[in-house]
Amino acid sequence: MSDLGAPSELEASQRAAQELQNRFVSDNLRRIFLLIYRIVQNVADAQDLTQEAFIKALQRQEQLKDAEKAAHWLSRIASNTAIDFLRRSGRVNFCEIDSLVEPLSEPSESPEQAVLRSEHRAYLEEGLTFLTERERTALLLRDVEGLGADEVAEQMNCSKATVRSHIANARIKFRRYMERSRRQSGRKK
Amino acid sequence: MKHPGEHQLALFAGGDIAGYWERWRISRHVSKCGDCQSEVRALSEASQQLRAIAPDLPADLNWNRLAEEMTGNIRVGLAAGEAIARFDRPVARRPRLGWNAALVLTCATAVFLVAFWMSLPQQQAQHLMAALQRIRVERIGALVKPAAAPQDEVVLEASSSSLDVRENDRTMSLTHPHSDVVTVSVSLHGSAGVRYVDADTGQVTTNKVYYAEP
Repeated sequence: MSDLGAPSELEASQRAAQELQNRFVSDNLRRIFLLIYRIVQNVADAQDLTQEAFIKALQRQEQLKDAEKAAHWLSRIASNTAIDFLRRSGRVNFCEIDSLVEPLSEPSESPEQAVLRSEHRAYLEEGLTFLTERERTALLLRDVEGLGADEVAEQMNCSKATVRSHIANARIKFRRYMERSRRQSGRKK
Repeated sequence: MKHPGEHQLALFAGGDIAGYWERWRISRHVSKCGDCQSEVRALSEASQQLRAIAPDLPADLNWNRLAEEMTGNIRVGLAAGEAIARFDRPVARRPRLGWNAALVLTCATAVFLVAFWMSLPQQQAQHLMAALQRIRVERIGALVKPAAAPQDEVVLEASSSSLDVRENDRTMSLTHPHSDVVTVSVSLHGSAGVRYVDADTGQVTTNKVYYAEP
């Protein structure tokens, strides 16, 4: 009797683990992709690195029990993967995947709002390109991901003073970029 | 009035000034200085706008398709990792602990015996050898030629044919008639004896020789 029961229990636990994995991926995929994308500034690289980060994380499934900790832990893996990639390549590759390009439609917005929002996003993303990779990474981890300066320093493998310097430089450059753009658009009008 | 530096204001805007007093000093200044207030506000707004676009996907990206592709690739990657791990997993070996343990024990015993033998004073070693030979005689009923006794030593020997007391070159033998059943006994306390059944009378006879220190 116990011989009949054992495989079904095993199957059930495997199914549960698989479901946990799937939920973990679907809950975090967009957030992690965007974090990596903002750091590497390229869809194709962000796709590869996102996959790599998830595979690394899921190969240690025991960490997934606490969802909140797991999400935080995954962010760390993702940003480290992106930073390692930048360190290895020493540059950012700007080639895009044509097959993935498709008009974006957001039903909750009017076409005008969607265009304005898209323009604003493109404008802010352009501002990020004026930062060095380290400044951009530090700014995104601190201001977008909300990590403390100490944690950013740990992830970027540099001192707290250096990270503070990167964060300050990034904020100043980004603020100047916005100021300059505002002046230029004011002159056009 | 001295304004805080640009870097300090940028850090202050995000709450990243290290040190309580420094934070307090800048905060006090900003609360009174209109220029610095507007600078901090602009820096904060820039960060807020960046945070606001964080959930937005890049323009013209088909997220559903990309997400599906990434999810599939993640599954494939995990499966490949598992397959490689299974392939690399070392084959379970049969436990050889028993043989290893026996080998170690044998070696250790041999080393111990050699060390014990070498650490014994020569006289005691010879005594031990003689005693071992006597025990062997008792067991198998035949005397193997004993090691030459050192001078001034008294040696008691018991065999199926006689009891001998030997000192220097002199030997005293107490012989007994041949018998099929002779029990030879040797004591480390200085005695040797034989016990046999007399073929003529059928009686059990015991002969024992004791050696006493002079």
